[in-house]
Amino acid sequence: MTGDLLGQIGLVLLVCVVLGALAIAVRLPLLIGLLVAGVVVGPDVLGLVRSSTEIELLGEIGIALLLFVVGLKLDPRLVRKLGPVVLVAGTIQVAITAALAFAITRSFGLEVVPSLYLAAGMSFSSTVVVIKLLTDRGQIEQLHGRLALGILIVQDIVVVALMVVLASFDPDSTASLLEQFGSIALRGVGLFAVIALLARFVLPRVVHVLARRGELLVLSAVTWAVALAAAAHLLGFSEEVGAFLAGVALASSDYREAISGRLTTLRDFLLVFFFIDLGTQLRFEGADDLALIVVLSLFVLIGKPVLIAVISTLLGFQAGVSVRAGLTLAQISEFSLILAALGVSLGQLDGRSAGVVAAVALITITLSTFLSAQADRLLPMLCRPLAPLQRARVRREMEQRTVRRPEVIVIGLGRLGMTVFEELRERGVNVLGVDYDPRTVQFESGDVPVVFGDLEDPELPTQLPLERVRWIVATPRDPEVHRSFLHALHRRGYRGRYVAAADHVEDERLLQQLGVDLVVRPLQLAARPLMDIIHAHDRRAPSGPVTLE
Amino acid sequence: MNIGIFDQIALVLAVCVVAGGLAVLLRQSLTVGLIAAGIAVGPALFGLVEPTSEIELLATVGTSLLLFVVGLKLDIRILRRLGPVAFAAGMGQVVFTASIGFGLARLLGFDAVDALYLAVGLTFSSTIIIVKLLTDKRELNTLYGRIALGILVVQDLVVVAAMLAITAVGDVGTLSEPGIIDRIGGVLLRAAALLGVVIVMGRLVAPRLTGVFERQGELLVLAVVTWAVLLASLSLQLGFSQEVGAFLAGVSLASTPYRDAVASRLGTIRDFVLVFFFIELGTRVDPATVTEQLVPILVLSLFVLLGNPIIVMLIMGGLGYRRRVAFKTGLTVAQISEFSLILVALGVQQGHVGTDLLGVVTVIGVVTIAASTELIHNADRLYRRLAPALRMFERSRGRVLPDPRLAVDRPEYVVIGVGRLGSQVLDDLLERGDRVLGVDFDPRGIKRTRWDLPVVYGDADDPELPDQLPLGETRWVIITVRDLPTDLHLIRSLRDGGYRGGIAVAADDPALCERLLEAGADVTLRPWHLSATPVVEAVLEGTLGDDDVEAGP
Repeated sequence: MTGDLLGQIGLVLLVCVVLGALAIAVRLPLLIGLLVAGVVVGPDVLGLVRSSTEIELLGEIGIALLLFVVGLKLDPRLVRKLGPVVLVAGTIQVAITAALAFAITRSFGLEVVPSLYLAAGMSFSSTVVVIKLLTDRGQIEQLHGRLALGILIVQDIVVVALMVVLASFDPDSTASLLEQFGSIALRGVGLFAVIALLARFVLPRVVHVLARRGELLVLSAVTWAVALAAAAHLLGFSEEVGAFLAGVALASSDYREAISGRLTTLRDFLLVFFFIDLGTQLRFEGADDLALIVVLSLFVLIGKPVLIAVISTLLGFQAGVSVRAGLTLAQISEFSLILAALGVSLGQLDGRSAGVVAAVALITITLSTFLSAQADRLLPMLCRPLAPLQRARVRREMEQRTVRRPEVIVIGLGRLGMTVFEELRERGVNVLGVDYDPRTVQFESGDVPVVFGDLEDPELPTQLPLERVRWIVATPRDPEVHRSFLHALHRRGYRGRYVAAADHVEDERLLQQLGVDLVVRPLQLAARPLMDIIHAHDRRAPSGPVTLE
Repeated sequence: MNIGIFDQIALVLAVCVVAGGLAVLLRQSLTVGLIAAGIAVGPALFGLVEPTSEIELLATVGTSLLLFVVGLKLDIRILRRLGPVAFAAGMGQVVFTASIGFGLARLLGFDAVDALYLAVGLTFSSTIIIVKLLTDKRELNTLYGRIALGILVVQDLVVVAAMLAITAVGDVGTLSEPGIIDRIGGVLLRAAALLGVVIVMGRLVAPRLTGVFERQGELLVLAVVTWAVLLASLSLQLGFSQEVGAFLAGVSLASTPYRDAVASRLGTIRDFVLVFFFIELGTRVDPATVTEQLVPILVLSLFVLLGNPIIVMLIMGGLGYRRRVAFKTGLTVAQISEFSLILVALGVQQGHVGTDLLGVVTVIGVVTIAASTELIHNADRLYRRLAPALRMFERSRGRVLPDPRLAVDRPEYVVIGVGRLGSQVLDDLLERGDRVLGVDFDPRGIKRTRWDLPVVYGDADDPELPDQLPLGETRWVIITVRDLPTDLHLIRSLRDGGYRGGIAVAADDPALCERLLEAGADVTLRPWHLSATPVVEAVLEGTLGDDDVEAGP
């Protein structure tokens, strides 16, 4: 690699880090920092980077991975469990928002195709931002949280469908619109059918073999995604769609969590390149755009929540719940950006319009974070106009969902952990096991509740269902690992008990100082009974063979 | 065939998965499968992949990233802890292999400069691969694992020095040119600048930034990678190679608290990148070179595969280590390093050697990496076969004599295997004032943390062991080795030798306990089961009875 390119990348990354840190310092998502960084290093501002194929390629792989992970988490069983209500709400919301946005952009004089892109872009909300908002406030299990997430799932499906259509739609082709649609539909169904067959019959067995080695599993998952992306491309769809379908195909696999857990870092890293690449293609010009940006932003910040609130209330949810859900969703999505990037690469969207999307994204993501923080204060005022729309019998629960609400979590299913886990289960305790070895997880899955997770992963507390947990038993022996995990738990607000394992007396003291409720020293416990027997008998061995257990 | 880059990558990855899957099914190591895949897709076989800029980019970035992660794990403090062994074995191996290698190369007809590069190149072992293998086998914390790591650290430091030297020679030119002092000074200055930046970052800057990065995981990874890229770029600007920069960047962070958090997150990326590393390695195998230089390649590969381990085993035997440890450590040096390739590439760049030498070294690399990975994978099985023959590497010890300073010549209790459980048992016995003796194959390691424990050399696999132990007044022998064949063996030879005291054995599986009792043990204990009970009882008590245990956030 040339020194120039390396140095360039280094400086670009540095800008990303600085701006990312700034974003976090003001409690905004990292995404914002990266987006700004992308613009800053682009040709319009610092001019550090011209668009290069290498960066673009890395960004493309990042997007493919993103959609792969999205597909992976789209458990078809979950969708069925959410029930028709949310699906209806989501669909209506997308349709109306898009229609209104389309009207706005056309009135500003934009052409049809760019308007379509912008309209679609305005109707999606950001999964990343919403999940972060909800998790930070511990609201992810509450009704409005689940409503918001349900709507987001619907949006994901719509996005993908759109990407399929847009990429395959060729405005210059001689074939009629109907013929084109027909061709798309045919190819789409064909691809879908092949994947469905593979997913049902071939994949589970293959994955089982590959899961024997963690890195082989990840490698295979990525290969599967890339291969399907290439196949999709061959059939005239966009690569992202292939990656998404690859994810959905594996969504009902037991190894789902193991795969997605390991891909997160890679995905986030590659997405940085996506933002840089996007930044190089944006163009900002003049006051006209500014007006459009402002209007669209206001529409998203105010109009969208109102729309969602009204629809949800009409469908039977309580006004307060509807308003909260709406406020959470008051921004546009990284998918809007991805869609815009797709448009640019297809030549259907120009740099200026993409710039508009980016600007609206920046503004709405930033402001929606503050907006939803003020939800409590705004609630009474906003609920009043909705009151008359509220139904007589209000929904208090969504459809049944089997939620894991364990009371005890055992982390680390090695010999000690597994013994504890199994004994507790035998005694009827509602216990969840956590381990990072995909084979342990698979072996225990099905009826037995074991999930994928790594104690050294700082994000682990946010991934665990801690709401009803009273005891956490963590079996790794390194006190430093316990220290950082405890820290993260307390930040999450955990107030239950904690049991740690240790080998040495010094570690035990350290852990007790950290506030651990019970420290177990397995070796000492194991040695004790042996000592008793040994000293109970002098020279003679005991009368018969004995097992101490 | 003009396939797009995405499709190319997809194809390559698919071949890797198939090869990897086959390797796993055949119970071989994954690495070998990946290398085979690389050769398959490269010009040597199917010619699926031409070196395009994108794949090469991924590979070169890959090597730097790998070296960064390796640097991250190499805490220099390991050297201090292991002391003389690592240094002696590491340097010894470098010196011996380089000298003998040089001689061999000259015999095979290479000219002096080529032979020098070959000799130096063949001495280094692959840190990337060994660290990965040891981590996978979870043997990084065993005695031999730690010694191997120490050897690798020493070698990596030598490599960095060598690379700086080569660049220096290039810049300095011939001795007769004027201004030589200035040029040497220039190189030293630049090297100092590079190392200076590294030290400043590692000691001063990084620890202060903990607060900033504590909360956001992705940002931490991004920041760390940025640092690696910047340092690699700086290194390049200063005239050294980017790989050295990346490696030093990792080392600079190795003693910071980020190390574990970053290493675990980068793990997946590293594994992924490693794939491209092997592919690239495979694609560079040029069939023409292989046929032309077949003899030198075979001879030198055998030299690395057999010669390096033998040298290490001799050194370790001389230092008093048992053959099992020496053998397993020896196996870890039976391949050449990614640094060897980089070193020779540097030589090509400087015009010291030709590209055909690089081809030779590449093939040797592929052969030795593949073969040694297989050997390490099957290390335990190999050892059992070769154990009798390996006696020649040990210093004969005769009777196992306890350390006279400890005055334990008639112990009442003997503990075989002074691991965590064993040392706990010894502790408890000592507290009661009993006369005890511990037996282990790494007494030095134990003495470092527990100087007060009376431990002597003894190899549990050795059938003569019970004869060598002073069991005259021993009431109990406690075996904590936890390996069924060894345990059964020990029980049998103890009884055959006339020992009539009690035998207690630790085992986890109830079925194993049965067998041990049948073979003649008096007591078996299941340590994990015993340790789990208090936890379970505490939790049950707390959950069922205790209502003021608060729940959740």
